[in-house]
Amino acid sequence: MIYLDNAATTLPKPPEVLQAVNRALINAGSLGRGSHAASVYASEIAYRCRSAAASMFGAAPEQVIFTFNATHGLNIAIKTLVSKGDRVVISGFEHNAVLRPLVAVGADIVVVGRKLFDPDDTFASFRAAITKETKAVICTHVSNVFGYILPIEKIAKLCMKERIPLVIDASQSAGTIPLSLRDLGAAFIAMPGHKALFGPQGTGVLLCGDVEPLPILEGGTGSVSRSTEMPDFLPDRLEAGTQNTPGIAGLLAGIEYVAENHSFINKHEYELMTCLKKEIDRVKYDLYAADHRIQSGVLSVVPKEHSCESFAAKLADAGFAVRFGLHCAPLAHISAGTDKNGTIRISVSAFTKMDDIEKLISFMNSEK
Amino acid sequence: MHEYLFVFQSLTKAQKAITLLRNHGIVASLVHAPELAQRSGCGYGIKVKGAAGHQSAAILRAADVRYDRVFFSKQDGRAEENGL
Repeated sequence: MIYLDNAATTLPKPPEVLQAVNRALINAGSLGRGSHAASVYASEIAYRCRSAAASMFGAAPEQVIFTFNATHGLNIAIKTLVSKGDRVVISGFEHNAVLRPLVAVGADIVVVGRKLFDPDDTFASFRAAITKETKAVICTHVSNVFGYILPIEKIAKLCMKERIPLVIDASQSAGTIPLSLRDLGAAFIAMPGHKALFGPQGTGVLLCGDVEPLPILEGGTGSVSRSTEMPDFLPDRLEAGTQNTPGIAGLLAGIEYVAENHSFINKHEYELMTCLKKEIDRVKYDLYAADHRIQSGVLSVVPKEHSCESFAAKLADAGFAVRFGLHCAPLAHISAGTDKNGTIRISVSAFTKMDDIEKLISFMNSEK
Repeated sequence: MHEYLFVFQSLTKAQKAITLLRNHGIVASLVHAPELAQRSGCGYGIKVKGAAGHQSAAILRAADVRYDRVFFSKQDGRAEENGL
């Protein structure tokens, strides 16, 4: 199999990640639940992971909350900031991880910035839509369908100026594009651990800014146990129940891998994407491609002579793992005009070989 | 041996403190806070040698890493709250 579905989850993971998970499965007790060696070992892993994430994303260790995935973090963020009827401004490229919680709480959702690969229009539409009544702004950093890099720094500055809490969905950017909670002044930044941070599935991080977050899960935390309420301090307030220590150990190894190889990863992904954009036959395929400064390592294509579904099946038969359809982001497809049939999404990682990309291009261009 | 015990409700805060102290060359160890030191159940403590108590408190205060309580343990094993 040639795996090109890294926007869903990166595969393979660095060998260090597998080793770290294995070590934790053998040695780690429950973190923060005792003073015996196995618990202390687990607690040290957790703190090292918090510190590594804090260092990478401009935060303090206690602002780093372990979650199951980005969706979990986004749910905490949305349920903290948004109540029924609240006006919330979101981009036209949000994932269902944002849209569904907003619908569930009954928010008044204002969708802006529907022009693909047009950061000026995106920013201008946010500026025009934000009013005194706006309770929160939620914006993905990179579209999971098109790789479009939204102008998050400008949107963050606008939110700081207007004093409106900003939630950033960094699912497709964390690990590839620099992000700083401190510099962006965001209320929350949610990210998965299992994508470009190369951790195991079932890991994620929520960075908490200057807000009082609302737990969506209550339970034991290994702290202030006589109280029947959740602790009022982070990270305990948002981390009820036994944590995923093997996952956190893997996430730590993944973050360390990214920190050590960041330049290589960026250069490598740039070369792979450049090759894809240049070599896929535009007579046969519509490519949703843009300059690398506004497009990350995700490319959507639509075959002109096949349905996405039938062509994705051909790709699967030939051993290429890509994802077709709406990618859990119907809003993004509506914005780009691809909602009827979806697209085929090709997404790369540090472990994608140029040879694999050339084989894909050769297969696609030879299809009739 | 005389020791100071800095008590935190938050494990992460205690870990942050221990990292900070170690970065300043102070030998510190993390322990589950004894019952005596817990007001609301399940807390964490950092033990440092008696001679390093004042310096440790100053380092933690300077970095705004706030501890909840401090205890001083005497040679006979008895501990009493200290106002460091």
